[in-house]
Parts: sequence; structure tokens; C-alpha cells
Amino acid sequence: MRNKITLILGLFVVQLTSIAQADGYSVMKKVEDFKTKAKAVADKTTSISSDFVQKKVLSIVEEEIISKGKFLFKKENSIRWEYKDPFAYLIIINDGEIFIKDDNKENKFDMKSNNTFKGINDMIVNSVSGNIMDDDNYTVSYFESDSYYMVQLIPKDEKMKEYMSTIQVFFDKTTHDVVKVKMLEESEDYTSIEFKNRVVNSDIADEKFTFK
Amino acid sequence: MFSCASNPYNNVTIISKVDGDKLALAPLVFKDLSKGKLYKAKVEILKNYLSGLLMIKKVKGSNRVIFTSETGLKFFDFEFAPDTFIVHHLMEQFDNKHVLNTLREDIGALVHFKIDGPYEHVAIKGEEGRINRRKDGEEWMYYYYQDERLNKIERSSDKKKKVIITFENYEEDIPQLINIAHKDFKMNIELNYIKR
Repeated sequence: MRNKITLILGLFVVQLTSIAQADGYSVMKKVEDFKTKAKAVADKTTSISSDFVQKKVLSIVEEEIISKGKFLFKKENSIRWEYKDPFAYLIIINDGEIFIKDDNKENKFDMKSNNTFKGINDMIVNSVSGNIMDDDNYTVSYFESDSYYMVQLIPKDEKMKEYMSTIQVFFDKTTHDVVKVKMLEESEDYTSIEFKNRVVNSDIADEKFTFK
Repeated sequence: MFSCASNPYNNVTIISKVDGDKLALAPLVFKDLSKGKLYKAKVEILKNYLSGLLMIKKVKGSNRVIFTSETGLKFFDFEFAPDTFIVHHLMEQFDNKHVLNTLREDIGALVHFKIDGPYEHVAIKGEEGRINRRKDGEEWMYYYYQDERLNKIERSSDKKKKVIITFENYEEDIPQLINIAHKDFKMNIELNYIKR
């Protein structure tokens, strides 16, 4: 029995490693060094203003849905996602509340009422601010390629797993900034969000995160 | 309870009866689904509101309809095959028999393969264009055509309209606006085509 479990675990680890290695990634060599540097960058970051490109891949129908917009983050955890193309959609997350504007329809939620959403949001805040490694909600492993460090997170919560089975956060190897977040589903579908034209620590007005 | 005057189908005249095979020639909503069609969707169910993106595409002989949030979260993934219906993914919040059946009927009406017969070619006072109807269980399905294009589908009992689906502003054989309105309870789905 014990051998069987070891074998299964072994296969699982081999499989995980091979998934990551398939696209030019190998197990990260200096994990502690990376964590220290990424944390130092995150600690110095008080705000982020960035363009984003979201790619939703629906593998079974061989389609990609590309959307673009503006992302704003301000410490401690205020976030603004503004989709501009090819549709308009705004999400503001501030002080435990979520505000969504879709055309002329406005909706406000208390995030505490939705644990899964809170989990996803915390993951995104922690990813873009570089604090993701310390999150107890995930099993974390570390990889690297020539250009990127990649932190791979596997949610421990089963509900969360229904939405994303694996999350990969990509850091630039020189700046230690988060450049991409990829959320994989149990099917082969995934959502990736790439950050471009990133400006750190600019002055972002509080009004960007307020709503009535 | 309902007076005869309120019955919208009082003035239906049957012009001819045709067997089902010939009706397969009648235009469907989408002439070609080999390339995915993407719609911005707004769904109102009772007091709940949900928006997202609806992808419709034909894959391996089936019409696949996938609904995600704008942020990429998958709500449902349905497969409408010529003879079967398969739920590949359904988010917890939608996992209710009544909701699922309603979605299956509503979305299914957009991606049907052919309209099974026998059907009747009818005229309704006050309505223009060609109108076909067929019996679907206890209900009637009415198909309204204008200039060889399907512009309205109605699901009704003998006396009352239950669901009205309208197709507007066709561009290159694609309706730019689709609206699904339920008359017996508060549910509305609005779909706006997204050019990519």
C-alpha cells in the first residue's frame, strides 16, 4: 500500500515537473534568493498602473477571446480592472467590496459573501504585488526559464479548483516584476493576463477606487 | 380567466401543411458556425443579474455554446448535438433543473439544426412575412421570417406567448442583437455581437 502511494505521488511529481519543463522551464535553482528579491520588489511597490491583455483560450472550440484594458493597484489592496476592448467592463475591489459596472448596469457585492471570489482576488493581489509565495491556500512550486521565474500554485480548496486547477505567476528575471498570470482549468482551457507598459509607484488618485 | 381577445393566436389561419424534411431548408439563425461567434451577454433571472461572454461554434458536428464571465470564469459549456444535449460544465449557481431546462430551450433555439416537422405554414392577422409553426410537446413553436431571415421565434401554449426570441440587425448573416424574453416569469437574455 505504502509503495503504491509513493508511486502515485512520484508519478504526480514527475508529471508536474514535466508540464513545466515542456515549455522550457526547469526547477528553480535559487528559490530563497528569488523569494527575497521578489519580496523586496513587492515591499517597495506602493502602486502599479499597467495595460493588460487577457487571453481566454477555449481549447475545444479552438477559439481565443482577447480583451484589453487598464489595471490599477494601490496598497494595501485596492484594485481596478477596466476592460476597454472589445467590450467595456469595470471591476473595482476596495475594502472588501466589489463594484462592477457593465454598460449602464452597476452592481455592488460584499466580498465576504463569496469565498471563491475572495480567494481569486487575494491570489491576484498577491500575485501582482509579488507576495504570492507565502499564501497557505496553495501548494507552491518554483520553476525558471531563460527569461522568467515561474511560481506555480495549486489551490488546496476544492471549490477553488473547479475554477482553476493551477495558477502560474511569471516574474521577469531581471526586475522581479510580475509580467503574466496564467490560470489553468481542469480542461485544457486557460486564462492568461499579461501586463504591459507597467508604471510602478506613480500617484494614483483614490477616486479611481471609489464608487457610490 | 383570459378573454378571447387577449389570445394572440386567435387570428391564426393555416395556409398549408408541409412535411418536416422540406422545412430543413428554411433558414436557421446562423448559416455558418464554422467560425466562432462571440456575444456580450446580459442575463436577468428574477432579481439576479449576470453578464459575460457567449461563444457559439460548430465543432465536430455539434454546436457548442460556452458562457464565461468577462474575466474568464466559465459558467457553462453546452453541446447541442443533432440528437443529444450534453452538459460539459455547469457552475454551481446554475445547477438547478428548472434553470438548466430553461437555458437548454432558450440557447437551443439559437443553434437548432433543423426544425422537425410536420409544420404548418400560417398567417396571423397583424403579422407580416412568412410564419411557420410546429408542435413541440404541449407547446407551439412559431418561426417568423422576413426576407429569408429568421427574425423571431415564439414558444407558446395554445393561448399565451411564453418566450419571445428576436433577431435584429443582421450583418453578413449574423444577427447583431438577440433578445430572449420570458413572459411567464422574469427572465431576459440580451446578446450583443462582438466584432473581432
